[in-house]
Amino acid sequence: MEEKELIDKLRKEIIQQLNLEDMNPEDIDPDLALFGEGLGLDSIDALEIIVLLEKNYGIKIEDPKQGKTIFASIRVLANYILTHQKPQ
Amino acid sequence: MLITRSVHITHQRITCDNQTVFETSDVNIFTEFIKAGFKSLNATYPKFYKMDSLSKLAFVASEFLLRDQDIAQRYAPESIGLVFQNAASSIDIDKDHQLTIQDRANYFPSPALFVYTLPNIMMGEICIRNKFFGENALFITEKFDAELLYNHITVMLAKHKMDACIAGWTNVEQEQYESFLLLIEPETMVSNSKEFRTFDAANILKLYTI
Repeated sequence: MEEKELIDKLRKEIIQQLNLEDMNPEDIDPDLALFGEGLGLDSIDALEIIVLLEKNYGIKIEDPKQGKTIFASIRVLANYILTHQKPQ
Repeated sequence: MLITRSVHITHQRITCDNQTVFETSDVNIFTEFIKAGFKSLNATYPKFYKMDSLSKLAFVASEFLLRDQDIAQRYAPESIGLVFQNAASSIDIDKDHQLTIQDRANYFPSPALFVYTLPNIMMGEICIRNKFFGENALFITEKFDAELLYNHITVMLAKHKMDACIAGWTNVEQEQYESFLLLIEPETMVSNSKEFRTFDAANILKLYTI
């Protein structure tokens, strides 16, 4: 899967998984910070993204501290998936 | 003490002091109804959409109850208490959570569901929204019990644990839902221009059964 295709898929999955009802996929800038001043997600959302990665992409985040780097933005997350997903 | 406002939500209708403030027949499932009720408030609060049904119901009832009340300006945050009752606890979200963990081969517990698997979280959501830090109590009772509510609040007031109180009944089980909330305040803190009901068990029951 190409980066752009994966970014579009992640935007939809994050909106659905995190119940961001008032947002459309195109509202999420792929380079916007997911936490803090950016999309304003919280710690429970971070845990939900960890579950999403394991459930949908087979990627297990063993150390939650890694999340700070991996969840910097949708683009960073997409690239992490592309480099860490095991071949089907 | 006086009952200065009441809100009742059930059967696709929201009443405030017995006046209908929101009603719809366009949606017939609870999740859609409560979302429409929330949107009618024109409030911006994205966290609403992440709540479970029980918290959504209590949250919307509290928003109507506290609208234009300036309660946070009139009382210290630690002196505003909440006393709720409910029968079904958090059964719906408990079942949803169970579905995410019952299959060992597909075991993905959802943190967002798990955090709502206690009924008193609904009061936490109201406190977070309004920055209240007062006493909280939740009683699981078979049905709404005005006497129990009155007695507990009276003790809390006598012990100076709270000056004002948001109290009532909020219960959801599948498509059966009802929230009945009261705002209870001391006579010295409210305007004389309006007639309010005295806070006692008989008046609580009267307001509930109107």
